[in-house]
Amino acid sequence: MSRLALADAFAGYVGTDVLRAVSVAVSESEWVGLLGPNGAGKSTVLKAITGQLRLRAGSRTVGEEDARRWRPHRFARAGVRWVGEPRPIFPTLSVAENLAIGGITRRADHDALARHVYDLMPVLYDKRTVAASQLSGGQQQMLAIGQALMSEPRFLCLDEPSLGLAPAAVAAMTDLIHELVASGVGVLWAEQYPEVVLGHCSSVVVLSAGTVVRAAPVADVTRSDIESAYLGERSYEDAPPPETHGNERDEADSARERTRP
Amino acid sequence: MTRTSLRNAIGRSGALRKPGQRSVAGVSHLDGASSWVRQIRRQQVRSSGIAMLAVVLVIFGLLDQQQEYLLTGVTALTLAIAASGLGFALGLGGEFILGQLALFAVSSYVTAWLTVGHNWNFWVACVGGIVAAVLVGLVLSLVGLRTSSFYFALVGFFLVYLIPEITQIFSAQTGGTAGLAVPDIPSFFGTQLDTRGMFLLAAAVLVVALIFLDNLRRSPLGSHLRHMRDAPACLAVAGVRASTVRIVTYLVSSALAGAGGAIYSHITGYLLPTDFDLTTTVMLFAAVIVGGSTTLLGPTIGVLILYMLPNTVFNIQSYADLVYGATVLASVLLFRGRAGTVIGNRYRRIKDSMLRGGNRAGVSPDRPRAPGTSGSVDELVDILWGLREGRQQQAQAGPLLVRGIRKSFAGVAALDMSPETVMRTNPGEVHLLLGPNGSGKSTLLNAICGLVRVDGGTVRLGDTELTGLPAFRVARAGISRSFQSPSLPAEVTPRDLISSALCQLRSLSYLHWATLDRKARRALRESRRTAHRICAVTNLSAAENRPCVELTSGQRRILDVLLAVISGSRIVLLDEPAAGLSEAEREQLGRMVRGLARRGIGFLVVEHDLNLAFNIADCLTVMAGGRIVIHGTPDEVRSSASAREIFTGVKV
Amino acid sequence: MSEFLNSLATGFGLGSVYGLVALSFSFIYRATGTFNFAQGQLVTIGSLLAYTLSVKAGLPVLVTLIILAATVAVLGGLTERVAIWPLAGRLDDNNMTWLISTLGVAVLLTGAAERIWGTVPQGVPNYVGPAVLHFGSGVDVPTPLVVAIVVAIAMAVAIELFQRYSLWGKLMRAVADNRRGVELAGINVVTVGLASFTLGGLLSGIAGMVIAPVTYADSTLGFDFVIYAFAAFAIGGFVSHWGALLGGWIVGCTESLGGVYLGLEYQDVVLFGLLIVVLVLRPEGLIAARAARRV
Repeated sequence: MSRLALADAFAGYVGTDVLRAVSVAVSESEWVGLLGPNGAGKSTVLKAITGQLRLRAGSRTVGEEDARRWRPHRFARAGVRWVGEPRPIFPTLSVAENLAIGGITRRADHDALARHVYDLMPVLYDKRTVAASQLSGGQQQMLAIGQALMSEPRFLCLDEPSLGLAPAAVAAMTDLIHELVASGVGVLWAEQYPEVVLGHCSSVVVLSAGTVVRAAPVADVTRSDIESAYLGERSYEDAPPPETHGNERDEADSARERTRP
Repeated sequence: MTRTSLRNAIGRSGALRKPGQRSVAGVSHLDGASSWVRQIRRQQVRSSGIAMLAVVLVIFGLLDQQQEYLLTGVTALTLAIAASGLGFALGLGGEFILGQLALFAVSSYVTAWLTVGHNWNFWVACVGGIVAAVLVGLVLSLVGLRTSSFYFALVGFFLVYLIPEITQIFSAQTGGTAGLAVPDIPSFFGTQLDTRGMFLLAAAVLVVALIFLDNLRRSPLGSHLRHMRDAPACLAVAGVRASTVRIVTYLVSSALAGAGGAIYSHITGYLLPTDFDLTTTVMLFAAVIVGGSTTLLGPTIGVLILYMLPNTVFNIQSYADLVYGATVLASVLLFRGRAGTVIGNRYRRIKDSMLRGGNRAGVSPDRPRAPGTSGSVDELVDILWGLREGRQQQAQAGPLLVRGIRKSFAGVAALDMSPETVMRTNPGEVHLLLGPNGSGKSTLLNAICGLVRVDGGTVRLGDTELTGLPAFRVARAGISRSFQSPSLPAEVTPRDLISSALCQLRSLSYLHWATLDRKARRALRESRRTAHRICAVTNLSAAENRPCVELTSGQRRILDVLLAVISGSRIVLLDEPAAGLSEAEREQLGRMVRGLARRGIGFLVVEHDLNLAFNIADCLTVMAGGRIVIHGTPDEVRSSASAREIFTGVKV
Repeated sequence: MSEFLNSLATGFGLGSVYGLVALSFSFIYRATGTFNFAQGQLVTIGSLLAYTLSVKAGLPVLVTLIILAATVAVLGGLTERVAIWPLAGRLDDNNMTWLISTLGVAVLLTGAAERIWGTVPQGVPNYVGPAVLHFGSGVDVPTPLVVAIVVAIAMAVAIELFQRYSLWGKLMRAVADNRRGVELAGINVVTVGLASFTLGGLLSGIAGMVIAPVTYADSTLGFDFVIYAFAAFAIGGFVSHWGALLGGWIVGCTESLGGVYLGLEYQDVVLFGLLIVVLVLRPEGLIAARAARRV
């Protein structure tokens, strides 16, 4: 079973190491949930695993091949697609043109693949001549996934796809992903809110402050595991108690400041 | 003893501080002396380049017998003066002044016209020429300020192209395409300046110009220029107005073009508009790039290579275009524009290893030096606080009040606080701002410091209204910030950066810096010493003299936070300061923030690391969907069910 | 009156050439974020090749067109390989190193052209039809000018169709929208940049051939073309492909009318003035993304 994997990866942006010794893998037909609070590095993991970031150290493999030195555009050809922020859609092009570009590595099968994508996401068919900039946020999300599907990927990496979507749309998306996983695609879904994926994925990787704190099949991961990773139970030794020197805040102010929706 | 073993012996005896050593009372005195020695040596090494150049030029000028070499030489020198000005603007500020040769030409023609047509004295005419060049340069700069760098470059290029036409329009004064005869021979205290004399004059002007540029490079202006090139937002939040920096740069570079042009006008006895053509413009740029735009002597070396060599050793007149074109291409490709810096890096490494006496400060990117114990953080706080003693009166003492901010981007509301909502940060308080992605935290910080214009609401610091003010004014009013991904100028060292920030606190005018008078020299000395002390007690000591591009993430982060804190503001905004930091570094950061807060500085910190947040906060504000949802002390927030729900998405 | 119309015709004719080059700037910029300063020299080489092929070698017009277009297109692509591609890592910087490298290519090409063809302008006779077209009431327009206008409009239409309907055209539009997106779909965006430079070369070569009968095949004209084309781009180019043409015509007519009514030495000064006015009053446009980084 072929895998898309990072092993002991160190990666980040100029001078900043966001990921430290991170190992994440997804196999075909597997649904892996990548969880963790904001700033933990989930987006960075996805960017690193799809070749958008260079690894400072560690390894990256696609199937059997060492993808450490691959240029970003090679990953799509190898069957690895990514959907995240900023969305890889083309605002001035129509939906159909967006899909055409999305599937440009599989031009020969374009018509069949386009039909398949329109079947999965009928709203795209209705809007196929509309410029992508005119679509709603949720529809643009669908378009981005549709673009990825146009190249029949082996692995699909999704960065918080539920953001900004109504619950019904999220449900539709999880159904879609189930279909894809059933048909052999390996899905790596990064999500801030565990509830969204916990009921669906087969294994979970929890990230905190750039390192993996838990990686296990979903059945072995408890709610409190996740909570402790998010809220942090570590504290400093010898930490001086926080002082409130010169605090001119008065009680009336603090009462007013609370819980203002 | 061989030199290597002597160096090792010195290293082992500990007279030179090893990284990781805290300075203890007895050793610090020694440390001070040896660092003084290092400073003097460094000073010598820096000025040695200019001194060597001066010596070479004088020897050449006095001894050389060949008339045509002298002639080519003096032309090269005038071009070198203009090139140095261009290199300053290009290398440090990223300004593509394609019109530099046009300013050179303006000055030449005006100087010639003043001596020929109006019988002015040469020296006074030179001043006239320089003034003319500066005026035209300022007009061009207005275009540069209004439009992008690309259009600015284009306009400059067009101006050079126009030179033949303009001379034709003013043909009465300039002789048109036939040229202008300049029979005047300048005299210097009675002696007539022949070609040799002009050579020495040009050499003297070049050396003075280089010293002047060197001073400016080391001054806060140099630092500002680099920031303008690499990180314009950082400039604004440091309280510096970018357009001022730009105008001063154009002034300096125009003046130098003017100086070169003025001397040029009286060298050959004849001025032709074809002297100032597009090929020469390209050659000027090529010279700056080949020699190295970020170094001081680079442009001069470039002109020597590209102008003198082809015109003396090889005769390339008919092949000029081919040679220059190929050279520009080759140099850009080979060095990506950094010939001088590549060589400079090697040179600096050799210099470093000589000065450190074999005790190389190794930088291990994977394992930054172990953080100081609480003692050294206290020391850091003492140093930083000591800087502020004198400045307390200047900064506002009031709290930061943010009321009802609304901001939309392209119809989507990023911030949507209701008008009665008030968020308050007092000096001496650590106020944490938390919330999921898209809750508006970063937008709020940008709104407070003026990088983003709000649609509604107010920001006040004490009694001062800050809403709608441009970023540099907000910074001057007393708010500073650090950034999520700190952009630091690549080739500068942390020590230089901190030293520049400290120098800026003294508010000396650019004139002081240009001439490097006693006040400026003292400011520089003290700032460098303080910068060294600051670096010594943080994780920067190992990389104090490494260019910023080589720093680890933790070091960059600490440096950015330090720069924000040094500014003297009473309220400091920190944007995800812990991102990329190791556990130990987060701890040190936390201690530093708490220590400074104890001294009365207010912090508004956006952070995702809840652990760190709860440990250092006096109060926390949680945002969601552009609004403030919860506010309270750490205990209150930690035990709040809605907070847990926001953070974990787990419905309780 | 006829003088006015004649100079207007010259303006539109020459302006068509500037517009074609401005058009190249437009899609090259959208695809790569850079400008090819050597574009003017490509026009010149086009006209010089027209001289060599159609006058000295006596080849028929169509053959000349094909050989010439192919050659200059290749030169355009070579410019990208030599001056842009090696800087690939640096294209994202706030850095205009490509300005210097393409300038270097421009100077190199000027030198090469001067060595190969000499500096004396060579006449190129009109290709098709009579040398002058008579429009009545004393308006006699040299045919090449009309040809230039027609060709420019035809090429603009062709480019428009290409970008809208062909795969490569869509790719170029996509790269302009979202570079990363194209990469993530599996295409090396640098190759799309190469295509845009090659296409730019094609347009410039044809422009050079078309205008050679008017301007003579002159190896020294390179920088003139590039400056006028940039002015055309700045004045009208960023709105659309038609904006580039419009800018070209404005520049051409300003030059032509300025030369006739104010004197030859004022031609370019007037254009410069117009450029400054436009830049100061309306500095936004395609370049606005870069201007935004000004604080």
